[in-house]
Amino acid sequence: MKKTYSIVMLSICLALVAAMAGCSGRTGGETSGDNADAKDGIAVYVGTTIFSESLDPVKGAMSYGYSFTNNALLKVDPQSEYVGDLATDWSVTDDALVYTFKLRDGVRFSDGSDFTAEDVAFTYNTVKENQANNENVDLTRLQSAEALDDYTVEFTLSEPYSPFLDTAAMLGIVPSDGYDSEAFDRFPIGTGAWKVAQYDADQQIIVEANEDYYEGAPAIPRVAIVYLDGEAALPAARSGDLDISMVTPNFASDRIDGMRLEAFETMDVRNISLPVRAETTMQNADGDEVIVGNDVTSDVNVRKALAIGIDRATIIENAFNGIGKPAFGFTDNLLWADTEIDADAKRDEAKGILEAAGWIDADGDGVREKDGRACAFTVYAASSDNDRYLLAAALSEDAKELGVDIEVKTASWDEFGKLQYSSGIVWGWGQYSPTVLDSLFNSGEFMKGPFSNVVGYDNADADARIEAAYGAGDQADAIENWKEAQRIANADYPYLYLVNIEHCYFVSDALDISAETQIPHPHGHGSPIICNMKDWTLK
Amino acid sequence: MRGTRLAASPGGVMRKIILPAGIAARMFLLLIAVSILSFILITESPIDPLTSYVGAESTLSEAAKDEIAAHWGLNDPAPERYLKWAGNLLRGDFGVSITYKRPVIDIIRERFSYSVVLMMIAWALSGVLGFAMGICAGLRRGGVFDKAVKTFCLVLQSAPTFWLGLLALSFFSVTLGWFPIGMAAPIGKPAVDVTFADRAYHLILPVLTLTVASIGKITLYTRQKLIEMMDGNFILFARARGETTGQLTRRHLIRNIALPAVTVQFASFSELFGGMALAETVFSYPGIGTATTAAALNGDVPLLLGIALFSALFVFAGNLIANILYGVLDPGLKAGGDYV
Amino acid sequence: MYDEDLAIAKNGRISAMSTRTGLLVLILVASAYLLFIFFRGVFMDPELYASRFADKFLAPSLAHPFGTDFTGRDMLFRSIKGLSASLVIGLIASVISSVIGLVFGIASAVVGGKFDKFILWCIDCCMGLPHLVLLILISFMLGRGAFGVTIGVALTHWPELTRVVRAETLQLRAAPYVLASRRMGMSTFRIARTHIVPHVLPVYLVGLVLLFPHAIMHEASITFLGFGLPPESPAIGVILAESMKYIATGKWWLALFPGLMLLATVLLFDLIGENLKRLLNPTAGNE
Repeated sequence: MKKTYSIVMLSICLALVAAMAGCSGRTGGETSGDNADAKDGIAVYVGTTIFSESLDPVKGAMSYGYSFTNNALLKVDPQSEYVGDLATDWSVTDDALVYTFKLRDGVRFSDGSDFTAEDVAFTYNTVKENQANNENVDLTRLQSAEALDDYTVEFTLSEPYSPFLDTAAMLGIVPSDGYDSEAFDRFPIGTGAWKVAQYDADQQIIVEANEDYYEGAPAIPRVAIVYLDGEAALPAARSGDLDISMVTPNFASDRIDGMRLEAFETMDVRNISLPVRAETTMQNADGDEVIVGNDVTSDVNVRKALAIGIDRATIIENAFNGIGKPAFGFTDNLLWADTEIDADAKRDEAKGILEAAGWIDADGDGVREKDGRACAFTVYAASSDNDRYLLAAALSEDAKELGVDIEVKTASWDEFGKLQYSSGIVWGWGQYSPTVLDSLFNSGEFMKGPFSNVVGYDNADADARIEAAYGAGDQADAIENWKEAQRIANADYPYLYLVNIEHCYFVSDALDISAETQIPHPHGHGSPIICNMKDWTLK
Repeated sequence: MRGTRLAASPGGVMRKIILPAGIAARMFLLLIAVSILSFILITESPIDPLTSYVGAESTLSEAAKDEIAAHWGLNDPAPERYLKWAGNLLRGDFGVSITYKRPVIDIIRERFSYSVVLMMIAWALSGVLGFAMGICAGLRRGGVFDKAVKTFCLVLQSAPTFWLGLLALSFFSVTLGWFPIGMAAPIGKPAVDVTFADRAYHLILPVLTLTVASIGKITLYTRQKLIEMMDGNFILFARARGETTGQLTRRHLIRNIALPAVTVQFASFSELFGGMALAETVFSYPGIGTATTAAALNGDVPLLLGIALFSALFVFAGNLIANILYGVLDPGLKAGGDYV
Repeated sequence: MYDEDLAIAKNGRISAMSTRTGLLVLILVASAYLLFIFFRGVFMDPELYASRFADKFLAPSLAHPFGTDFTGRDMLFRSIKGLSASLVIGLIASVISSVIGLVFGIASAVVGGKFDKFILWCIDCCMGLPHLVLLILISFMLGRGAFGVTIGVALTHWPELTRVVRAETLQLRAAPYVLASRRMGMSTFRIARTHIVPHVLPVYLVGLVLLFPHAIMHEASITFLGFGLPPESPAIGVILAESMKYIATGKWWLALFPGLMLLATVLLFDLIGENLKRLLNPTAGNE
């Protein structure tokens, strides 16, 4: 009997010892790891969009203006103005058809080759030839890209295209000799401040400072951009493994020793598409029958009542812990945004509109009806994005005040293809280029692109303004037309704008992320913080 | 209760020590059948076959897409498509994963190496600890320790693995801060710098969870066998010869129970795999389990097919070993009752 | 099964009669609890588990015994609703699965020969893949959501029961009265119907009850992984998957209580099944 027990106890002890060995081994490993980190670089979690796409600029990588491996001709400064990057100077002819860029001298790619006009022409022509692979840069109106000499490149357009400067700021330049479509997905060669040293799909991308960077090598030698499940961001930050950890607003009220919370201004707005057409069925681009339109949201009075009647501050408080600004359209950090509307929480006025339109709660269940139809519709949020679900849920709660019943559901992006024409969808928009207005309001885009003009908006005046904006000879003229297009469309309230979000990060107290050179963050789920990574320093 | 299963049903032939060639052939046929089953399930999904191989956001040229369609027979009827797939597999070509944009075989190799470590440690630990606990409990049948073990095991068997993982994570990592929250190595450390200790440290909680999740069955099985044997005639006989409980345990019981217990452990590879997948999800451990969910959620057909096949191979290996052991067993012993 | 209470009973310390009553009471209490969860959930006013942002992240209290989640939903009601959804899926899946098991098991044993071999082979085939992987594959084929997960769970749980029914039937087939009926020229179908089915029913019933906990647990697991019920639905798998997001912020109640409820449900089903087995077949106390 005793011996049995000793055998059993022995085996339990052995198991415990094995576990202990793991523990103590860890202590050693940890310490050396920390030391190595402090010396060699930092680890950041800035969302996962970087991992989900190719890093090759030719295929549209990081086109929101935060490529760290490849510079573009221009870049955006913190005031949202275009300034030179690889180009030092540029000019546009009066007919707005020819753009000439003077290039920076003495810049080298990370493979050691010299940067010249040849590379620029190559990049633009390659993208134009493979336009289908790049949905972020539209070069269909580019007729030719030519190197006039080593440091001058000339673009000729087939017709005026006012957002071309934006294109020049988005498209990172690749070397004409070293370009390799396959390798560049993970290891792009560029003139940027960083080069990719290690790429572990859906785990981490380790970038190292480009010692030859033309503005001087970054102060931090190595940055590990890590992939985490969103929910792991906070604990990972708390564990001390991360120097930056993006968190959703819901976690922003937490405190972490040795880290501070920074919330950054963005141009990223969340709105909900409200189908403007009456319900019917149509064939989509793939030839499938889809339900189009919604008999509740097609009433402009319902859309308007929501737009002016909901209390955005409460919604933001509920969904996002109060982080973010109420939004009524695009944001004022965009040169082309129209920011005239700002009606909010006008409950009585909204109720009046609904009642005048015949939406009355006759049966006392809290939901208005008209002709036997309840004032109810469904809003879908992407199942992968909990923040959008929260936003929709908070909206739903607030809309009850107005007697509008919004059912919130989740669906995958694939499923949106069938749902988006007849239900509300929570969208996120935020980019420097005004072309977003084209995909929101242009009647020609309806049922064309995967997520374009899903509400079915159709207004000839708005279409004309968009067309005029594209063809405008000078920027001021273009901007005026973009603004007018928004004014026309927003009067019909096809989209219910809710919030201009802020990106929240826990940042190590030892790290200075150069707030003064941060640009307003475009859409990109938090990644844009790294756009000025070269200016960061460790204290 | 949660019964052990042996892939090939017990029969007279199984009693022979060496696995007959016929059985081996039968099991191999079974593997092929399983691969056909997986193939049908995966390829009959609503996803367009070409999309399923190149991804919805493919940037490939039309010519490249045609090449892939021809290579995998995506426009052929299902039987031919299967044969093409199987043919490519035999040449080691599993296709390219959409999710990870790398050859499927590389991903499976890499991920499996992580998962195998996790599964085997948990498997061995739960086996050894469970066996020891079962013997202890069985020897003192009806005692406090026995009752505690029995309740503990019944509860563990009813607790979902992922919930156990969540509790472990919440307590050991969040509240106490003893262990990392997840992953297989410190965040941001280049692969070459990751030490053995790093790996071990990140393994502890997932291993603990998986061990605890799978310990119930083997403990109760051992205990049950021991009790059955203690009630048997030959124990009475031995006692009559004057052997003490300690001698008995050492000379007869452990020896006679060990083999069926090991057999049961081998036959539980299927549940082990499922538990591993759940534990990996909780701990964001980059093993084959997280790859399985990622592949299925992203419609990554080549990877899903590859993983299905490898998981079948894994279960197959466990069952094969169990069957061989079963053949070695005393024919009088009933290994792994096929009760529900 | 793993129990010696019966052995003790045989020793005369507790009379067989009182054991029987005790078992019945246990079964009734457990069933009452499960039925309560089921009906409470099915007929629950959605307002009880609706979002109320003013109440978000409340720790357990008298007003909210299980606390509230990130949109202020009451976790007790949400858990009950979720469990009842699991019970519904478990019920449908178990019934489908057990009917398949009953038919295949009896047919396999009665018909015998090639057919028997084929059924056994099908069982091995289904068990050749890890159960969870098979579930994922089926839900992959049928699309995610309630339908996929129900069918998945239903189609993967029949093999065990088929084996049990088959084994039971094989024993019966060799029984003298069955052999006699056969000699008297009774058709196979009629033998199955009059002699086999009634005798196999108790085993089948126990098997059905014991399928339940598996079905529920697999539904929760597969939903947890993102293949089952959609994220906005109140389901235990969804609740626990959500709790993972907030576990690092110390919202322990989000995972603990719903998990405990799931655990209790699974345990109770096991308890009912095991005790039912003993009630129906007292001589086979130990497997």
